[in-house]
Amino acid sequence: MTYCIIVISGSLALLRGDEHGEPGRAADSGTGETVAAVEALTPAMASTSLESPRPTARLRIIDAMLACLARQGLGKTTLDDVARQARCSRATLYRIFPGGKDSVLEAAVDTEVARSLSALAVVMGQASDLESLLVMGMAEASRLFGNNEVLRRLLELEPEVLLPRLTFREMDRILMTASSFLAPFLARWLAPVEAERIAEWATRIVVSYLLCPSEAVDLADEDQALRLVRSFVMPAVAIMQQSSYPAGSDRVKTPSQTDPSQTDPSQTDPSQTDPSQTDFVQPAET
Amino acid sequence: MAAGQGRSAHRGRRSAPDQREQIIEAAYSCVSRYGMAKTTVEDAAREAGVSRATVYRYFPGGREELLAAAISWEQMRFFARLYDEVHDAGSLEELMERGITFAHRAIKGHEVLQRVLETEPGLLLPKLTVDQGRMVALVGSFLTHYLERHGVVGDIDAGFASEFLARMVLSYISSPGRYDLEDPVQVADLVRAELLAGILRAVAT
Repeated sequence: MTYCIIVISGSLALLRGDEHGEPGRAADSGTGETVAAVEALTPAMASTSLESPRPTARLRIIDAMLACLARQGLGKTTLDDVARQARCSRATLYRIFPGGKDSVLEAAVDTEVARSLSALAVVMGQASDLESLLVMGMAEASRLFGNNEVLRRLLELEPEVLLPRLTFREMDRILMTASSFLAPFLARWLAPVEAERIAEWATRIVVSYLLCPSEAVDLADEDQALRLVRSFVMPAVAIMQQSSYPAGSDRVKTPSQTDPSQTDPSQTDPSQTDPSQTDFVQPAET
Repeated sequence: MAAGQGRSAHRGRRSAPDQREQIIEAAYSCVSRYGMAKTTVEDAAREAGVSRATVYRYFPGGREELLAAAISWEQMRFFARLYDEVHDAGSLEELMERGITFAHRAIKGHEVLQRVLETEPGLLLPKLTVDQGRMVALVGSFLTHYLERHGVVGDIDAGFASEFLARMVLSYISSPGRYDLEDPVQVADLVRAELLAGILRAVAT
């Protein structure tokens, strides 16, 4: 099942903790942007939400599942609990989620991850240089993870469910997922290879300090995150960028000069479309 | 160890630390054969050739406490071997390269660990995670000592640097991510950038 992987990637999660007890309000206030985030970040999920006749009921059920997880863990949560919390009938729940508990759980985890990643993206999008991107990203991710009620409760109540997804080979998969999400932000200042490498490393750092809190370092504190980034991460970035560095075979040596607006073609302003492209297409059509 | 009279009074019987370790070793060997879920206090007692009451005398918490002790025991053996592997390294880079290569192979080739991870991860990992702080402290204090003894601290606080380094080493050896730790070039790359760039720069300045 994919849900567990994601519970962890979901560690990046920003949770609207205040909304969990009030599913109706959560649905009202967040539907549009949440659905957009879900569609952008989890394609598999997007198709489901489009098929759903009532996205509001769907989100209410998802938020109800999250509230139940935070309250009583996975093992003790039944579909009746979720339906009651969502104030809908079991029939409605099954109509929207024919797969039952597993499929509600999967959707809940995907949604949680999408919310978290979009919150993280908003923060990271404000960075003005690489150092501040790393500091803001790591501090925000530490806060999102550390304060995520669902994650905290699952670790406390059912570590045997969660931990196998956070360690050894499962951790490798999370590192891959997380670094492919984070790398484009770093690619504003780094070549693609370095961007992925630093993204994976930053994920490790955050996960290490989260799963095993330090007495000396609190990464959720920006000053402490800054100290760590300046002490260890930035010097490594400098080394990776040295052309003499004996790195992997097909390493790209020059730092990317890419304009951030061009890293994602879909974000290009339509009004700035190069007219020559249109000219080129038109003759072919006529 | 007890005083000399204790030894003579109990000739033929193991002293307490020995017997405790003998029971732990027996429990570990049961885990390697039956897995964690199926290992009982009875199994361990039989394997060690002692009574159940003796096992409970050393491990009043019973099965859970015994299993936790067996896991810690095997971890300590692992770190002892790791120490043997790296303690005479001529430089910090060499220490890291040798340590990471050895530790990664030891974890990958550890049949009991791999089998338990495969079949009953939910039983093992909560225990390993509880131990994680202790592992960070253990590796960290070795590194602090090394950094101070070899004068490679520079302007960074040795405790701060070695805790970070310990965390990263533990992270990479258990989940190598993008790295192939069998490849010496990639290990060297990792050691000089992610692991030591900040520490070596602090020394240089």
